[in-house]
Amino acid sequence: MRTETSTDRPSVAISISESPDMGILGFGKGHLRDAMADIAAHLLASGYNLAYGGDLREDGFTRLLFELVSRYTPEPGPEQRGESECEKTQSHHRVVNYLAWPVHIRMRETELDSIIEVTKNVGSCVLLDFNGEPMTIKERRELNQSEPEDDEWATGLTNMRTTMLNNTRARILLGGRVAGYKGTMPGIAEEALISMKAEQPAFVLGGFGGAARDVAESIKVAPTWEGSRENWQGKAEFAGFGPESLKNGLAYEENALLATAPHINTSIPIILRGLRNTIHPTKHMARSPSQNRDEQ
Amino acid sequence: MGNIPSIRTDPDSVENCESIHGSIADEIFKNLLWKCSIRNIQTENPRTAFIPGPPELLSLVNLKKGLDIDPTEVVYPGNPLGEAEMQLLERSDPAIRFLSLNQWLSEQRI
Repeated sequence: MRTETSTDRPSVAISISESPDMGILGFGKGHLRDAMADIAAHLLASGYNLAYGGDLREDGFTRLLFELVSRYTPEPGPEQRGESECEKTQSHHRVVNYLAWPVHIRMRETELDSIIEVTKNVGSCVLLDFNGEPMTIKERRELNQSEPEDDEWATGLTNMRTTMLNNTRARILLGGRVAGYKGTMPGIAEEALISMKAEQPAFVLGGFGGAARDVAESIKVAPTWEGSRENWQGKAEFAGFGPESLKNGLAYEENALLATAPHINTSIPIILRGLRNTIHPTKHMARSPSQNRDEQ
Repeated sequence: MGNIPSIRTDPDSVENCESIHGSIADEIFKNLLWKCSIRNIQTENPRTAFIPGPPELLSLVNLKKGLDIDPTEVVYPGNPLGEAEMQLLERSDPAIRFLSLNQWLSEQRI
């Protein structure tokens, strides 16, 4: 079942979360929010849709994305005015929020209603079953709230990440915890691994430290530093991968810069260039007027 | 002048002094940062114009007055313009591309 928001615009998964190294690197939550805002703004303005796995409310990203989606989404054109309300809404779903089975099965019904209500302002919320297949809200309501076991967390999160991979064209990774996580390995590390195994373009931003920086070191695009960690669960699985595994259309030097740059404005042009090199723009992508005229 | 901060205040009141000073300092630092950002940029295109704030209709008119040839690209700091602003500017001069610095840099050869 296809869950991508629109068939016209490629979706890019964004995995941005707090890292244990932020304090020592001089970053706070505000910097993380700014990084999310700047990356999301440039992707939306460039015509990409966004996919986010997890509860958008936790890092205060919902309102931010609502503002960005309003700013960067064109008003419905004449061809869309005849569509039903449902179709109109679908065509403007620029952000898809995926909720893994263990994330939503532990939510009370009121909490679930809250996240669906909040998310509908920016796009859509996709609930996934244990196997990573989308389920309807009606199907979810028929189930009782429960606290997932460890294996449910591990399998449910892995399946969500695989479903997101199948519905997106690239992934951007920044930060991420390396202890106290749920699942078989740190979430951002698993997302990087899944992308590299599937040869999907991945952009690893290590400037905020955390799992993303560790991944960058493991695949040899970043040197070790005083915050480097010897090991975490699953780290050995990166042994067979190198810079070429990122498949993001960038040169080694560009990936090395992404892996270490503390300033998000250093990373954004490189990400946009990589996306342009690997994802072919469609007719609905953001175009300059001169480009449009050239094609006419 | 929508992209330049403005504060409406009573000239005899000192109530807004803090926010006025804050806004002035903010603009000065943003301007300085912009100058630093573009200092090392080299472009072979003489029709690329770098402006220190997001473009708007009035600044576009002033920009054209100050240049010998009309620009084909206008590069500005910060995040990309919103859809509505972009449409308005494109209608005013369809020959110009409006790009944030990050968008412009992403198109340059390295």
